[in-house]
Amino acid sequence: MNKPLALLLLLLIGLAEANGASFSVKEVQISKVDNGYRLNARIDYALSDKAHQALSNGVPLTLKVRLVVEKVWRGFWETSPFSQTLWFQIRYHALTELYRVVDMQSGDEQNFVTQEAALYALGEINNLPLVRLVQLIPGEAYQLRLRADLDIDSLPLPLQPLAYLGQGWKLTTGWSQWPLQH
Amino acid sequence: MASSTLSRLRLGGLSVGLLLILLLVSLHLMSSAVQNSAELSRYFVPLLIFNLAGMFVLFVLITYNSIRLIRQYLRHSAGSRLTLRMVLIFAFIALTPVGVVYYYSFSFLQGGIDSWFDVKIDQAMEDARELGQASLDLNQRVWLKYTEQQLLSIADTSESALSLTIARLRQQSGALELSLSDLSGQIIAYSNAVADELVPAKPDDYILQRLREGNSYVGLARDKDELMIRVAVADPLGRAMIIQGLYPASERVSVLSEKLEQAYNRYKELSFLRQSLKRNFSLTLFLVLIFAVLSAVWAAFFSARRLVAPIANIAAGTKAVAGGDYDRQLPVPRRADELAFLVASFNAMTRRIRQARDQADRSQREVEGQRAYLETVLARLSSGVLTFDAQRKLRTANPAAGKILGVNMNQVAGASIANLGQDSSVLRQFAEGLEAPLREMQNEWRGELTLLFGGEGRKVLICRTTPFAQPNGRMLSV
Repeated sequence: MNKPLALLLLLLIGLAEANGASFSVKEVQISKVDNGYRLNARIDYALSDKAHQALSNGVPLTLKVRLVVEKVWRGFWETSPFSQTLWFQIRYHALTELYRVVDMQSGDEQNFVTQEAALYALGEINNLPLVRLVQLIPGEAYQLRLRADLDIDSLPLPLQPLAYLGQGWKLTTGWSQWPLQH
Repeated sequence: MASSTLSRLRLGGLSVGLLLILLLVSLHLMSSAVQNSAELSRYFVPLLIFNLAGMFVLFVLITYNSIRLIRQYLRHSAGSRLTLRMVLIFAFIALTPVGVVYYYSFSFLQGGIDSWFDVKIDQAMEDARELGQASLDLNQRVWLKYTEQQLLSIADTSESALSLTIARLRQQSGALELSLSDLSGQIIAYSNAVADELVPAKPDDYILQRLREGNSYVGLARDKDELMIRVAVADPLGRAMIIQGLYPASERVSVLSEKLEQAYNRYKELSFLRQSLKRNFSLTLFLVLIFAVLSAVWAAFFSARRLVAPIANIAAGTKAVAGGDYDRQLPVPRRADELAFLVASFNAMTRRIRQARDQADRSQREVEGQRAYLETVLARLSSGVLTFDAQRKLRTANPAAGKILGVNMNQVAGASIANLGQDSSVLRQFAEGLEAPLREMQNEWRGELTLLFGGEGRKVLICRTTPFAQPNGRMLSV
């Protein structure tokens, strides 16, 4: 499903998450290294009852983290010097009673005994290279925009329509801005 | 006007027909999307929105048509009663089977098939999982005991000696990884079967918490496709040490548990998704029902209007003919059916009536012309001319007759020959003289009549009677 349509649906339905479940960005550290910036962040993924129920029943949940570095004041025609989407997946394995977290960029897998530990690990972004200094215009103010969502498109097909139309599935941090210190 | 109504109907019918086809295609795609077609599933929601929008348009059209029909009915417009009746009949005929099919389809979907397959698969799958776990538990307990003994056997205190001991113990046990750490998880000594694997896996917080509380941990771990048993034991002697070992499960157990896990996960996922699937199928089925209902009602409107339009035209045409308007020609429907025949016959009838009326008008005008001509001629004659009908009543008399007889002939118009002389002795003498010839109508008569005008003298009239035929009886002239 395309984004404008999803956004339209979101506006049309405009439903708040019933049980207060939401994603939030708890901590962001952008450090300047020799030739660029690196990101350390912690995102709190609080699942809704429905998402929790699906996870417990073996449905894999995919989380999408979007990162954009752009000028603080920019025209709509200007492209961003850095844009990246990170994908992570969490799935419960009933036989081993483990939660498996997969970093879909590298394919690295980690197993956790508890869901809390798995979600905590899922929310940690460590030392992620952001934009290189040569890509930035000196003297210009830049910011990092960050957003994490539960990716409905990656849910199993039968769940998708209800996830788009119903409550409990639109889990997101929303966009947040973090300045890049020169 | 009637022709434009028909073309409007045709144009509207085409547009709505196109919309119905699009909706049908969209519903078909939606149904395919529900049936696990990965490509189409992405378009489920857009298709849903398109269908809802299309059905809303249909609903608005039907509402508009209904309101229009009700208004026409209340105004007693031509054909509105018949249209309303036909719409109701068509809608009833179409909706009844649709409703029945929907009811049974929905029942089958909700439980009909499930009830036949209720063979406790859920319980069987749970049992299989527990059986797998029980068989692995046996292994895990053995490794737990073994690891506890390993920890008890460690007596060294220096870091280098501990490293050597851990390496020896790992080799003896066949563990993939063996590590010794403090209670915070900080590694003291570490050994791995793979020489270049230098980063030990730190126990996660949950395990550390358990160990701090004095409980050992044993559980399964998986690295890629390999199944392992993770054991973490706190020192029973109270030293601030934790030993953690990763032991390989046998290849057969690993393969079987992998298969079991995959099957179990898949089954769990699918049984969880079953409700969602049912909801999607129900939603699609419901949309199909709404589509069928709206299409049927609209088709009822369309068909009724199409069927009734020529009849309404005929009714309006008949009313016009009754009002004397014979120029009305009705548009003949394209299809060659009884209605087209009826309309064509109506047109032929009005055409003939018009021709007959025109002919009558022409004849009337001719008669009027001849009559005016004759009246003019008679008025200019110096001889008097009177006409009597078969009953010997005076029909006409020219001005010269009145002049000769000295009587205003208009006053005695329509009087019979016997009564002609009631008010005038001259007329009486004239009537008496003519009575006998008029009785003998078949033949012409010539004669002289002498009329006495009191003190004014007398007049000798030369008279002639000529019979001539009229469509409504014989008449005579004098």
